[in-house]
Amino acid sequence: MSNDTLLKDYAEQLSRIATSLAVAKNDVVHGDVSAGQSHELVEMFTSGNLDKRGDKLEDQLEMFADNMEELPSLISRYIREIPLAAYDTGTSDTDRFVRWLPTVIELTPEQRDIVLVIRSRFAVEEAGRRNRLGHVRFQELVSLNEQLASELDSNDGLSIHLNPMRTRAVFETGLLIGENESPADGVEVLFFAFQTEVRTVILEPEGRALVQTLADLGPCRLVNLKKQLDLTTSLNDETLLETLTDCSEVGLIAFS
Amino acid sequence: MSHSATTPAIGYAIREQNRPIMDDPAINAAEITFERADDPLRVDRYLQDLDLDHVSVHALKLSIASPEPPNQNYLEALRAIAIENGASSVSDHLGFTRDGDNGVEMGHFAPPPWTEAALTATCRNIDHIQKRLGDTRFYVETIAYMFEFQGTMSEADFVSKMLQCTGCGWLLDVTNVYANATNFNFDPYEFIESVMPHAEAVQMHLAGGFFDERSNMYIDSHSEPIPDAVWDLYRFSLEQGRGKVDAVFVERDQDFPDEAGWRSEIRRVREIAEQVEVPA
Repeated sequence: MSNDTLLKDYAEQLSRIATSLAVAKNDVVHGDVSAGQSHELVEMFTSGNLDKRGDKLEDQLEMFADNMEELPSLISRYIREIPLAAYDTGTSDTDRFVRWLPTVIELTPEQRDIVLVIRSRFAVEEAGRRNRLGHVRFQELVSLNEQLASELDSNDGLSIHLNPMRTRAVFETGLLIGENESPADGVEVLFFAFQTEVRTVILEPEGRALVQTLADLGPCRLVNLKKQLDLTTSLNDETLLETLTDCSEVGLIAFS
Repeated sequence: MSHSATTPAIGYAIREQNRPIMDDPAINAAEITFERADDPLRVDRYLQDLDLDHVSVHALKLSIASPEPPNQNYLEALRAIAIENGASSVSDHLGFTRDGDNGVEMGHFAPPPWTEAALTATCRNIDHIQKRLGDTRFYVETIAYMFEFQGTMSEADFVSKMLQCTGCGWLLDVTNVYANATNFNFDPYEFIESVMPHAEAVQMHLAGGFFDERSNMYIDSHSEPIPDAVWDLYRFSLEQGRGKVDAVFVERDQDFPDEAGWRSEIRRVREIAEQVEVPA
């Protein structure tokens, strides 16, 4: 038999083994196991793997603890139906789980908000993975925020940078912002990276205008930012400086 | 403390629980688990300010026995962590965790069938990895397994041929060999003695597990002190590999010891290595 044929057969064998063991269809591989070795050991292997995967999901989905009674059974169903994708990590599996959820149950508005949080955090992490240098450089700038924020009212030459590792979401309910009532138009929140963590802020209209303008302009001098905001908003200088200070304190913007 | 150039570098696989004792004089090496170090939002290197003689990055998902080589993104990320932390070596396991690049992940590695086809695919993948890693030496670890697939050669033959064909290093997990020998009834000393001559460079892992009565198997759980039988096998492995053992790492993932426990275990690892290195 040629090398190519041997390798093709091997690829087929491994594909069959991996796709079966990934979802604990153990009987598929019984014929591949060495003679005399107990099939129970294959079951121990797959159940151990699935347990670990389920435990990881449960840990990362703890936000659902009080809002989804059926979570354990859904996790159990998910790990038996949907195999881990090649190179999948713990957090990407959790992201896949919450994308899978609405295909099997109807989520309440509160549950949809929790899904938004999980997906947004993952999106920020992935942005960091795609642009490591951008994240590290921005965090270096953030470390100067306290010092440079004091120059805001005297140094028009300061440049303002918007955190590149961010994503926005709109909550439907007040669950995650400590409100009993659901806001009529939802609540806009911004998720962004601060060092190794993902932070969340609820932006007031001034903050939203600032973030949008910085997103449109890219890094810009304070003097140019003021000009642009004068054209598009009614933000006065005092409010702008307060908003910039607030945003710099949480690490959403940085100066240079 | 200065260490003899002929004694292997010695240290722990880093966990948060043993970071406080990484300045112990007996330690001059560390192993970093790639998946722990590869935090996408990290702003500092995983090793922080630790300065060690030997650093190795231990990967879990190269899946070297898969029919396809690992993808470029994973290799690039692995290389980045190695460079960031000043690692001189990278390692992963002799097994497969997935089928292909667009396929599925099983969650843990299984041993390949000990066949010519698996050997060809494994050697081709190792060559691919070594080219990508350049000067950073690649080591392949013998895994502990719960079952084997039907094959046409012994594991010892497979590993020996793999080492000969690729020139990669051998990460001899002494506890894994002990576990497999206990579970599949072979002589661990013979296994090590037959493979060692084919390895150009060697690293070692030591850990402790327990015997599970239900499955009648020794489980390499990394949760217990290193057992006496593994200490003996470690000494034997050092004797067999004298002159080519670069580093020895102790792994512990559960039921962590106290500070004195961490320190005494690693000191014993060094003590034995120094005894073996002294000419008779």
